[in-house]
Order: sequence, then C-alpha cells, then structure tokens
Amino acid sequence: MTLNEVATMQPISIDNVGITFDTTDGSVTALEGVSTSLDGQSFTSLLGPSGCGKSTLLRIIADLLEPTSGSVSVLGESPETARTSRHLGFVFQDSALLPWRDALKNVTLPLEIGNGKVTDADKERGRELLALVGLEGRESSLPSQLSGGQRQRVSIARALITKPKVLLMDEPFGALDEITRDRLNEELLRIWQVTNTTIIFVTHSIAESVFLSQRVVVMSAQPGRIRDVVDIDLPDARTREVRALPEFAQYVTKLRNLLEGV
Amino acid sequence: MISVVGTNTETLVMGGTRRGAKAKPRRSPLRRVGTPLLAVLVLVVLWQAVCVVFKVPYYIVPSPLEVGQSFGENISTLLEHSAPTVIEAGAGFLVGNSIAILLAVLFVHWKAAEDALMPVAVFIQTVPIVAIAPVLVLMLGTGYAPKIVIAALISFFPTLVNMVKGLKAVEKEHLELFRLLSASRSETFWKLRVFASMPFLFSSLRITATTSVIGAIVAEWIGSQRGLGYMIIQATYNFDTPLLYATMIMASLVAVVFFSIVSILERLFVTWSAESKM
Repeated sequence: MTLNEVATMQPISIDNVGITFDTTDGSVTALEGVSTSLDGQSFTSLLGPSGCGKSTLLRIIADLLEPTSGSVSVLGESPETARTSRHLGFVFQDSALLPWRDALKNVTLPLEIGNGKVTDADKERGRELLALVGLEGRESSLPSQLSGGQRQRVSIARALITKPKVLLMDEPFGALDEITRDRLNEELLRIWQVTNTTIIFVTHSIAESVFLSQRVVVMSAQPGRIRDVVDIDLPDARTREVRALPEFAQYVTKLRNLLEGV
Repeated sequence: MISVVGTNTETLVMGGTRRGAKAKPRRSPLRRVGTPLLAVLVLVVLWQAVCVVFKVPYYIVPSPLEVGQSFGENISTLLEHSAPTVIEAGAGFLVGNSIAILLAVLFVHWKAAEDALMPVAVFIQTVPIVAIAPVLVLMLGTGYAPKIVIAALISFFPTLVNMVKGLKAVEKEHLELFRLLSASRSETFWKLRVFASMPFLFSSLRITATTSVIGAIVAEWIGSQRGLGYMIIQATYNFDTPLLYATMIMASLVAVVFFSIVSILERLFVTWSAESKM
C-alpha cells in the first residue's frame, strides 16, 4: 500500500455499532445501529443534543470504549491498533492539561510517554506547534496562567504532536465564549489545512458544525442513532463572510429541523 | 518570633476558606501581620489586667509578665529539653508519614490489600494515644523508641487516608489521555497520580507536623527523664505554674517551626496548585 493509497482510503468506517451501559437502574442503550463512513482528510461533525451518544461514538473510535455490538475500523485497522500506533489525536472538552506542567511540557507529553525522555528535536517540534496554534512565547506558562481559549490551543498542539492521521475533538470549544469560539473555529480550519488530518468534531452548536464541516452527521437521542447525514456545500475558504451567506442560514435551518424531527 | 506565630495562625484560619475565595483582594503585608499581632497584644494586656485586678495567685493562673520572666530565666533548660522532643517528633513524623505513603501506594495498586488492612488502620486510629503510651513504654523501655512510635502512630492515619484519596483523585479525562497514549502503569503513576496526590499529601503533612509534637509530648509523660513532656509533669508537681506556661509556649513554638518548614516545602514543590498560592 503506497502512502497515497493510505491517504485516500476510507480512514473510518463504522458498521452497525451499538453500546449498552449497565447502570443501577438497569441497562441503558447509548447507541444503536450506527453505521457511517468518513473520507480521508475530511472534516466531519457529529451534531446532536446532549445524551445522543456523540461523545460515546467518539470514544469508541478512540478505543476508550468498546462497542457492545458492531465493528469500527480506523485506517483499515482495529481502533486498538490505531491507538497503540499513535494514529489518533484526541482533544478533550475541558483541555485536560496537566496543571503542574507548563505549556511546552504539556505539548511534548505524548512523546515523553513510551520514550521516557524528551529530545531537543521534540522540544523544537513542540515550540513549532505552539507557534502554529498562536501561542509563541507562552511555552513556559502554566495552564492556570492561560485563558480557557489558550488552554484549548495548547490541547490541540498536544494532540497534533504525534502527527495523527485522525484528530478526534470532543466539544473542544463548548465551554468558551462565542467570540473566542468563532476565532478558534477559523484557526482550526487553518490548522486542518496545514496538517492534512481527518477531523471528527463533536458539537452541539448547529452554526459551528455548518461553519467547520464538509459533512454533518445529525444524531438523535434515546437511543443514540444517526438521523441524517448532510453534506455542507459551502466555499472551501471558510472566512467569516461565509456566516453571512444565505446558504449558511439555509443549512442551519435544515439541521435545526432535522434535530427537532420536523 | 511572635510575628511568625501571627502569620501562621492566619494560614491555619484561611485554610478552611481558601477554595472559592480566590479573587479576594490582597491585603497589605502590614495589615496581614499587624492585625493578628494586635489581637494577641490586646489579649495579653487583658490577661495581665485580669490577674492584677482580681489578685489571681500565680500558682493558679500566672500573669503574662510572670510567665515571661519564667521563660527568660529557664530558657536554657527549656531549649535543652526541647531537643529530645524535636528529635522524637521529627523522627516519628518521618517514619509515620513514610509508612503511610508506602501503604497508600500499595492500596491504590492492590485493592485486596486495602480491603484487608484499612480496617486494621482504622482500629489502630480509634485506640486513644494516651492508652497506647504505657503499653509501648512496657514493650520498648524509656528511651527514644516508644516516643518515636507514638509520634509516628499519630502521623500515620491522616496521611494514609489523604494519600489514598490523593492517588485516586485523578481526573477521568487525564486517565483517558494516558490510555490514549498507551502509558504503562508506572508512567501513569509517576507522571499523573504522584502529582495529583501532592496537594492532598501536603494538607495532611501540615496537620501531622503539629500532631507529631503532641504525640512526642504525651509519650514523655510516662517514664521519661527528659523532654518538654517531662518538664510539663515536673512543673505541675512542683506547682511551678509560670514554668508550666512557659513550657507550653515552648512546645507550641516547636510545633509552629515544624508547621512552617512543611508550609515552605509545600510552596516549593506544589507550585501549580491554587491551594499553595496564598
């Protein structure tokens, strides 16, 4: 298999996945009969209300949870193989930085684990990534000295340091104010274009999913299922003007209607 | 000396309300030290006034001046008897905390050990120290050993409980991150759990820094010829109440020094936590 084939093959295919959790009130079906596949180097959003299992689906792809039924393949391998060969990057909802490490040491943590130490080349790559996410000069800041948006930037840099083929993002900007969120959305698209990764982005914001994605997977709750898949045909250069296009508003309305089952 | 007492009393009081009171405006250093100092001064003056006005006999309650005089006259004896107490409390503090930390590490990695030994630890904790002291003197003689064991026993339990809690107080997302990175158990321990437990460990070290001194003194009440505990017993028998008070002050000075050392270490090691930033 040549590199080119790896890049163009379907990186993620989800086949009839279901998951059931045992709780004290009996078993809860969080996902049922979920099937979809994603193109290489695409940007896909999982959109749905809370409790629709979108974060659960992301964790199944990341091999943090095992599905009760069905199967998932990531880059033609099992999620476990993809995880252990470091093909996956994950950005958590509240950044999940280690508070005792400065920004640079947080970013280089994935390289430290497994190797035991960080080389000068690793540190240099960490600095480059911090510059890529717009945090040049903040290498030695502790997480407590950074704003919520800056922490999430560090978290993105940390996810990118292993050069992942797939970047999984779990409502990364959910806790940020709208102004910061819009700016980070634009920057995320820039980073996506530079790094050539496949991004799966979980969100409950309709506008965010339309602005960012080539494709939106709309999910419904109880049990979590895929309701519809909508391709977003907006200009590739997603500048802030895109938000003012009539098509943008049409997509938002369409997704809202899907979410509300109209 | 007294200004040290003032700031540390404040540290203790603030400890309970630190969380959530983050954005409190910083007071000037003069007020931070000055206010508690003033309060102490007022209390001492009041105490002196009560003793003089009501003509309280010195062997019932000595006045602050009498206590101060006794402290000055006996300073060399007090310092001499502080040495064994400091050694016993210090050694007990180190031994008790070390065993507690090692056990906590064992408990976190081996659930069966926690289930088996935690009830034993709780049982030991419930037996009053004053009841254990004579038993240990019978077993270990009148040297340093029984005092160190008692200071260690008193330090052991708070640290065991806090450390177990601290090592488990790892955020779910941090554990997920380490799993994603295929971190080994020892990497998860050294790069995650140890750091997460630090604020918990230091909050119990601050407590045991002072209680280990209490343990050493209580142990010295029984079959001892030296130490601040011995001096307390002697002063009581001789109705030398001013010396009794002076010894009490000396004992709390020792505890304050212990507490200060731990607080300084905490500020050096736990630089990231809001808990240690005052």
